Amino acid sequence: MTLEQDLIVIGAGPAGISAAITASQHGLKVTLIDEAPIAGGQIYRATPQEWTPNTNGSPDQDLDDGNSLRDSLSKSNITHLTNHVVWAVAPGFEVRAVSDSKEIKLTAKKLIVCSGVTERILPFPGWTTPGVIGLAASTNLLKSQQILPSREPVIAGSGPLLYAVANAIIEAGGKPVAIADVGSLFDWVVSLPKLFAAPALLIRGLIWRARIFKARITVLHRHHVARVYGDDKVESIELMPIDANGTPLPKKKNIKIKSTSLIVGHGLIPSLEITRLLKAKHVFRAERGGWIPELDAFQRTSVSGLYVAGDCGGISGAKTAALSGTIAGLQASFDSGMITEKIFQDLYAPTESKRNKAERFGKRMGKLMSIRSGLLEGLTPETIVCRCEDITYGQIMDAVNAGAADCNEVKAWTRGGMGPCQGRTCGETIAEIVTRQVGDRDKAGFFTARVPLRPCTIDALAPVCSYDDIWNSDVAKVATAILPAENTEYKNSKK
Amino acid sequence: MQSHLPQLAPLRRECKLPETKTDLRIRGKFQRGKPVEFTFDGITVNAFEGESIATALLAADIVSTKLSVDGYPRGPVCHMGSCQECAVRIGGRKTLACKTKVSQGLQVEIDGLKK
Amino acid sequence: MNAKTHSLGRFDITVVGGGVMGCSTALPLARAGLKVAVFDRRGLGLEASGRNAGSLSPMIKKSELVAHAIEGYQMWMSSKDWLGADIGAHTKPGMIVAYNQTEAEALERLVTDRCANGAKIELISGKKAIEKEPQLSSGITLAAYSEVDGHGESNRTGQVFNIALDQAGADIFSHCDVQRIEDKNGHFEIHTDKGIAYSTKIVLAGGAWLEGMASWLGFSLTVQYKVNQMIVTERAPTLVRTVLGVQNGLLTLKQATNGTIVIGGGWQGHGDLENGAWHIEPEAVVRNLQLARYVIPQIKDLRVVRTWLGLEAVLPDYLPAVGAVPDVEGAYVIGCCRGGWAIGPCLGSLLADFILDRELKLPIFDPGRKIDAKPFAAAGSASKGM
Ligand SMILES: Cc1cc2nc3c(=O)[nH]c(=O)nc-3n(C[C@H](O)[C@H](O)[C@H](O)COP(=O)(O)OP(=O)(O)OC[C@H]3O[C@@H](n4cnc5c(N)ncnc54)[C@H](O)[C@@H]3O)c2cc1C
Ligand SMILES: Cc1cc2nc3c(=O)[nH]c(=O)nc-3n(C[C@H](O)[C@H](O)[C@H](O)COP(=O)(O)OP(=O)(O)OC[C@H]3O[C@@H](n4cnc5c(N)ncnc54)[C@H](O)[C@@H]3O)c2cc1C
Ligand code: FES
Repeated sequence: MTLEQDLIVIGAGPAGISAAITASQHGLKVTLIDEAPIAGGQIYRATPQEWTPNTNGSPDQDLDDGNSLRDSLSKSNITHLTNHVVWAVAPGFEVRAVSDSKEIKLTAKKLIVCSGVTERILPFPGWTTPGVIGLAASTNLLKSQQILPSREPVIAGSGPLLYAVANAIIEAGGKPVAIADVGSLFDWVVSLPKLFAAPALLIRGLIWRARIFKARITVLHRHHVARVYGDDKVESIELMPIDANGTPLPKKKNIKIKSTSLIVGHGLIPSLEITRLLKAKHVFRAERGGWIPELDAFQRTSVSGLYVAGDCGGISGAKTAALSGTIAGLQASFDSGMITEKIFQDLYAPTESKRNKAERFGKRMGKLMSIRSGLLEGLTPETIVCRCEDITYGQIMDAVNAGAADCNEVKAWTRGGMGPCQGRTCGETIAEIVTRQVGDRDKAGFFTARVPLRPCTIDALAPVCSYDDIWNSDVAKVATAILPAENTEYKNSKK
Repeated sequence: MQSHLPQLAPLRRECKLPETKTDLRIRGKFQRGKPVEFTFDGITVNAFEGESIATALLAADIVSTKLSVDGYPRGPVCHMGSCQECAVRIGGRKTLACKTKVSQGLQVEIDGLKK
Repeated sequence: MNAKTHSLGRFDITVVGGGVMGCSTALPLARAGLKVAVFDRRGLGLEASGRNAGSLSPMIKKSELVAHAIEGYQMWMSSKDWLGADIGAHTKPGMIVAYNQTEAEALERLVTDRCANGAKIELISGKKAIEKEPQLSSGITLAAYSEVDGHGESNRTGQVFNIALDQAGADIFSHCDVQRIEDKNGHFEIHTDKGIAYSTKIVLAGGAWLEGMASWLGFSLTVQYKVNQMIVTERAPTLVRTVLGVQNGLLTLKQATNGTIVIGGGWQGHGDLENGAWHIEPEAVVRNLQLARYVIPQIKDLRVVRTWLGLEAVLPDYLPAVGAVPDVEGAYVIGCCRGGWAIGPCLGSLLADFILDRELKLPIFDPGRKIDAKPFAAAGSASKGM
């Protein structure tokens, strides 16, 4: 089954919803795809359909914002495919998605990618111990599953999510044992002027801080996890002082804390598999999350008809995501001839100025979350870097020392990054390790993007069909056309 | 889903039942779904409809939910379908605990091959 | 440093292209005491040689290549001895199945022909096939079975050669793009993006890019390429014991030692010489998997974790080029062999023997031979349209 569309939008977060709504308002036939059962993306991840909100529950800004986005989506003409994982994308554009039982093909001249981010968690000795979970993961648990990741966790890492999570845990009746912030208080203070670009968010941040202070929770600035103790469960966590680059300061004392839970995250990484597959140009901008697609002011990539909006175009937060989505939707409508230049300009100008303002705040947040290479200095040869294949730091270093000079070489030599997470978890770490050797991230490169974008069962991808059906498919003809004569008798006999 | 995959070798089990149960679920904001029971490696786990398997296991204090390729205990990390560390077996298939909802009577097995 | 004039050194022999062909030629030469350089614009073994399916299948190679394939097979099996590292090659039986009369007849002809050339393959019934490979679906008309097959971890090709070449004293210039070669009558100038190397002899081993390389020396060679796709599943308990194929060639399937199942069969993705093999044809992934589950129904429960693709070079007669470039003293080529990963070490050592004027154990394949076969409609372009 092939569905032909004017525009496909991948990802139903704030960026994707805004892009789809805008384009649909201007008359494009739009399909919006997301693997989640309900629209909203990461920040507005909804609670399960099976649950009902209690009217007396405390208000939640994110939930309200999310509901209003979902509301506009449901009133639109957009085809919204939920529970569909996009497993492949090909130029032109062809989008292949798979649900529980069915594989579908969609085509469109225009494609907007709003696939969001994943969390960066840099390894440290013991980080694979069960009970170590992500900061972003915790927001997900707290919001959409209404569960505390732990009552008394240690929270470590960088960026605003540290305080958001600590605050939410306190609010829900827990009490973090300590917060270890990679950044210094100074990092936050110098961010203040930029943060005034979004006063509401700034105030929210200050309330969090006040609440954490009031709860008398230890906040250690310039600290990173030295080691997690415990075999099949976290038992205690050792924190160590670091310098501005994240490098451990061995002369200062480490602190060991008893807790069965460590929540940790070192920022967000744009999800670029799709723009990579389509060979769009990418640039490395540490302060925007690392590699990002090269975008113009209209959210266009270097590939004609391909747009990117939201955090996967560079970390900048939900507000910017929605505005950049609107711009991408406008631009796609204009490029499809649905609106005049005049209308485009009238709509673009105000959105752009709002976007630019929101971006000032968002970029600053992104900067607080950018990678600090010193954080890898605490690794031991036994520390696992690639969780899927159990590849250690020592094995990666052996490869690098023996001459592996880019990420794909390290991958081929060690199998690091070849497991089911497809390098999402270890990609950044391996890139940083290689960078130390070869000088910069450009030279170190990145894992080649590979489909399927998520592991998919063969059952879902390839429904049972007859032997002759397989041989009669066009792709089989392409393949057999170039077999040596001795193999082609079957083919000939079919004629 | 009937699987025909060969039976796995017995696994090195690392998951113990928690001694004390402090429920991590946040109450007040939502009315959760119907209570359900499922099993994880034979242990009965109580949960509510709508919860993911990973959430229910966390609430039951089961944090070690799979064995890595070299046989080390692992548990969910990202809760968004990215890290693959929450993989469990249901009906012979590897399934992500963080992306799969609980249901009454579901039989969930620990994933991992004995070395 | 100016790439136009910067000298990268003087060498006795320079190998351009660090795949299995180039590396296995370079290694014996370096060990023979020559000053050897190997150039690759990426890392060693990152193109076809590191992306192939790792099948050894010596018995079913083209008749002219069976002996070479058996030699290559033995070399990979004993890679620890001559290469200093284990490439993870394992012997497994090989099996090719036919699902109807036409296929069965073709299979019978193939087996008769290969056996006449020294291969050891037997024809067995469908029932017998299922005894040997219990997960096979029913409906098999005839199968070919050989005890001698196997596969190796070809993704590590670059690693093992990198280390061995380094130890043998060869200079490895990876991430160094060779842009042209000038024949200076008596020596060659190799112009790269990093500088110029000077060399008495030259070996061209550019895989799919060999035609362009040959043209630097004025030698015209018609190299064709296919854009082969591969699929791999997550790790699974032992499911498949053999290196399995379907007679018509559209399925190869085997389970690696780590439990992953590697599925291929020459389904075509998209690519060209400029961009390399760069994107999968999703429909071909689906069809390849349908064929795979037709043959081994139980793999349906496994998850696919990755697909990839690479350029496989062939000459129109499906035989390799191994030998001297006609009319250019001191220049050689090697490459364009179906099943080239398996045969590569044998061809490389033959070419090294040829260059060193040693006696040849097996015949080589004159690059200047007249090739009658018609080129196939270039796979790259044939599959370009969506
Ligand atoms: C786990 C997590 C929690 C976060 N929590 C917060 C928070 O509490 N507060 C905050 O300010 N920021 C949070 N963020 C940051 C968040 O990314 C942004 O604030 C905002 O959600 C970005 O919006 P977006 O539209 O760009 O992307 P997202 O909201 O991330 O939306 C991307 C969507 O694309 C879908 N998608 C991606 N790939 C595919 C595919 N192959 N097939 C189908 N669908 C696909 C995803 O399911 C997702 O719904 C979080 C990030 C993560 C990863
Ligand atoms: C998907 C796939 C599956 C396969 N399956 C099998 C199998 O199961 N068994 C088997 O035996 N064979 C298989 N093959 C075939 C086998 O991989 C090849 O025949 C073999 O690897 C060719 O080796 P090569 O050294 O000639 O080419 P390559 O490995 O491609 O090496 C050529 C090298 O030249 C370099 N190069 C090119 N141009 C330049 C330049 N200008 N400057 C510097 N360097 C340059 C390239 O970077 C490359 O590293 C498969 C091939 C593919 C693509
Ligand atoms: S917890 Fe990471 S994939 Fe489920």
